[in-house]
Amino acid sequence: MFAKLKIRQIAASSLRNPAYLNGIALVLVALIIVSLGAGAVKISPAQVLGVLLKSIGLGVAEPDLAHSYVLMSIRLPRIAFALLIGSSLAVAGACLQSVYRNPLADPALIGVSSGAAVGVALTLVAGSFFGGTAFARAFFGIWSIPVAGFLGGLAATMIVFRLATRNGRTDVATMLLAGIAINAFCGALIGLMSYLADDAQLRDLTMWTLGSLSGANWTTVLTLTPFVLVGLVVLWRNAHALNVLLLGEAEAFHLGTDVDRLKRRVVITAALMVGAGVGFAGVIGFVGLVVPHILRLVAGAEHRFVLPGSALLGALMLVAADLVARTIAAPAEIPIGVITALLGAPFFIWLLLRNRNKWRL
Amino acid sequence: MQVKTIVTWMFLLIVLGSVACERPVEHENKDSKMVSEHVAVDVEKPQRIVALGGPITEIVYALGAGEEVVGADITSTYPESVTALPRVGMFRSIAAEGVLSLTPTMVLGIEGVGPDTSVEQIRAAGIDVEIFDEPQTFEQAKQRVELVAKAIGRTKEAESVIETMRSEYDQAIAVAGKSSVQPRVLFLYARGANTLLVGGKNTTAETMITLAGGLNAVDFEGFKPLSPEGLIAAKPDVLLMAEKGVESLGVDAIWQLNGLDQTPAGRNRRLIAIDDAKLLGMGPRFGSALIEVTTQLHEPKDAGNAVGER
Amino acid sequence: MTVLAMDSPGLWAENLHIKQGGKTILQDVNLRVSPGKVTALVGPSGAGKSTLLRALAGEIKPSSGKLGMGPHQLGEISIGKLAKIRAVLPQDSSLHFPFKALDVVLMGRAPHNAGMERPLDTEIARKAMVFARISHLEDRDFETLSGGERQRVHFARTLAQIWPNSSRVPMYLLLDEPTAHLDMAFAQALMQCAAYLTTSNIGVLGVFHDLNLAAQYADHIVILRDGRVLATGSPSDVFQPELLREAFGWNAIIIQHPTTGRPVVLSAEGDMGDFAPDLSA
Repeated sequence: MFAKLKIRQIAASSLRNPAYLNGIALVLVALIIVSLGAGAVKISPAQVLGVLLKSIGLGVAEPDLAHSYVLMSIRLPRIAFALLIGSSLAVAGACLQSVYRNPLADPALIGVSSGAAVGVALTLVAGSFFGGTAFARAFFGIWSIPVAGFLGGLAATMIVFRLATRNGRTDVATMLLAGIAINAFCGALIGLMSYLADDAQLRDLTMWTLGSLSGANWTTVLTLTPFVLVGLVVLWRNAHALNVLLLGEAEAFHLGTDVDRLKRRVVITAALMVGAGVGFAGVIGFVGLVVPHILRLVAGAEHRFVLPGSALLGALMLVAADLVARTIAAPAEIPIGVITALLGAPFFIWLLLRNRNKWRL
Repeated sequence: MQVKTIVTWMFLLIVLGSVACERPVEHENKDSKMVSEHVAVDVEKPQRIVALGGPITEIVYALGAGEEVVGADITSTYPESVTALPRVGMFRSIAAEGVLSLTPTMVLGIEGVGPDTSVEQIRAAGIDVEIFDEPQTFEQAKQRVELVAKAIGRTKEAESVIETMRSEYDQAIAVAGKSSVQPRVLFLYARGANTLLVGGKNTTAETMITLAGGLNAVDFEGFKPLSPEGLIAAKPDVLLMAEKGVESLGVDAIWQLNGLDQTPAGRNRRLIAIDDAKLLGMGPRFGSALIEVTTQLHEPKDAGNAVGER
Repeated sequence: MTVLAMDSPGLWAENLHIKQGGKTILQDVNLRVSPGKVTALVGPSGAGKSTLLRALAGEIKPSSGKLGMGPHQLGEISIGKLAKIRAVLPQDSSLHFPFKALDVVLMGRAPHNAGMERPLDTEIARKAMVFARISHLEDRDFETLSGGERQRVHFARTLAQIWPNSSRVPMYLLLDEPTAHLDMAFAQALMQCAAYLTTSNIGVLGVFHDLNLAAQYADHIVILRDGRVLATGSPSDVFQPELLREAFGWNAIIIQHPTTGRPVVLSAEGDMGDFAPDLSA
């Protein structure tokens, strides 16, 4: 009893600015409810409630079967998908910004997105020359694209990381340059693949690079969940070390941080987390960059605020973007990456202009 | 060390996750198939059809079931009236909920309809989803019409559609048979503003060229980007293009392509432009498309400017 | 922590050589920072003062020779353990992320609390801020502070890391040009703080450009030139006109401070020493 109380106290005291976090969480819950009710199929709030209550065994009236299917098998996993991917992108972005000690860093900088894109492009396009697509399909089934994306993303990150590491020391400046070089190289490979692609392959590749959550079902959600949860926990446990890292690598060392181990852990965890999400949903830009920024502007850079905040706000942003993506052109859908960039970029510019005096980078 | 532990854990979890989830999904599929067979038999009531892919939509309309179509994808542009219907995006990237919101009783799709997850979800909702293989030959094109007709319970209507296709086809073959020459034809496909692709072996374009009594000017597999040297080496007598491609490039720009003036086609300004969906769809207009190609190939009315003709 | 015995010989370097990129930065350096003493490192620019400080902080591995703390070699002590008994104030610390001043000072407590701040940590951080005379900056955004204010916040952070040393275990504070951004009053105040720390068995090592500040507060002075130790000793031992001329190539006059009795270094009037431009051509 006493021990339990103590643990709760510690957990509460280690979170910063709980008021903001609660606020974001509240908006997120509200948005999830709105999101459940909105979509191409019209379902009233009462019906949503009916289906949800039924699913936990509290149903009064028997809900419409079609509605219940759309809610439970399409919208709900999709929202869960948005939560997972949004939070992992934003948290990975926040952590990488700290590792690079540059608020403009983004998960794409470690090559995970472009590496994933190469994996997918190879599977979609080059695979057909060598029968690779057929092989991948036979082996991984509908998982061939996510698996290729995940492996490609991880491979690119590992190359970037290896290039920047010498004698166990990882140089962040080299990592930045290696990331840019690997991204350029991957861009060239993707260019080659789209040059060789036939129309259908090109279409698939383009759609993948624009991102979509339409691949969500309970299987994909359950597969993604462990990656995201383990990643969030690992990064959260390093929140304080990341604070210290912002002072500088030497300072972090003086304060007892094994800087190289920290960098390795953060980069690989972020790559695993983002890679898994990218594999399923394609490239979704801007969330990882913008979300941590907004939070820092609101309440400072303390990671025990920024990390949980990013998880919540990233989830919120992606749920919102997906809501727009699947309703604005219903019954068709707009790629979600288009929405995040379309909404994110102007907002980001507005933030930059508003804080022009504060940021001198 | 710690990183390795994390990686190991994640892999363990993903394996467990996918194993745990594999079975219920298959089960769902079997269920939905049973449901779908049930629905397919029940053809008395008017269907609510979502048609995905231009040729499929054309077939459904040709079979007289246009009234029953409640939605289509953006590649469905013929007949004109289909464009007034709700659009569910491109057939390769459909959203399950978007399709379901049209409360269809049946979804008919061209080969390549996806993503797979969306198709699965639509099936799992108890909707019959029929995907038809892309035909490679005229026989298969006719078979596809029959299969679609069977799916929507209009086998009688299929007979007259196929009859028209056959008579037009025979007419075209007759024209081709009369000709003593076998012109070299180069199929150009405009993708984007600056990319022109050439249709090689095992493409629908080649099928049309061969049936029309022409010879594909290139012999590589699939589509490849056009190069000036490749163009000269192919020595085409005639260019074959989709109308939309000609419109987007402009006729003048086509004649100014590097190397084209070194070929018979360029010197004689011979270009056949045909509506994309008609030429490449292998749908009900297969025969009439073939007549167009054959006629323009062997009996050009105006060799200087074939573009104006429709 | 008890392994570091009370009678340990401080933080030391023995026959230290450091090469970086093929260039020898330090050679044959012997040095000891004793607990309870202020040691000052002076010398011309490029003499290797900062490198020596960073080597003693454990950041740079010796190319040959030994670095140690008490009876142990520096490399044998874990990073986390070292952080509990040794604090470093770097010359320049950039922070491009918004933190409150108090949060920055609290980071000094990181080695002790593994990221879970206890009320004790906040108490110590506030005390350190009082000590560094920056209590009024507590809620200010670090990025909006002036250079001098930032320097004092970082100083308070290093204080919070090793002070108050109630167990009286030997500890070390390494300061790299701590007064560079400070005006005279704050420079004096900072040095008084540092000198005060020695009463709780903390050894202070400082790199100084201001010879008089070194003379005023140091118990022990090391003059470094071209990577070698030129002279060591008490301020009055090493601040001799000949030694200073050899170290800096500049003529100095040494007088005695009227109240402290410590040496005061003045530039010899009108003599440009070795820096005199050759006007004969």
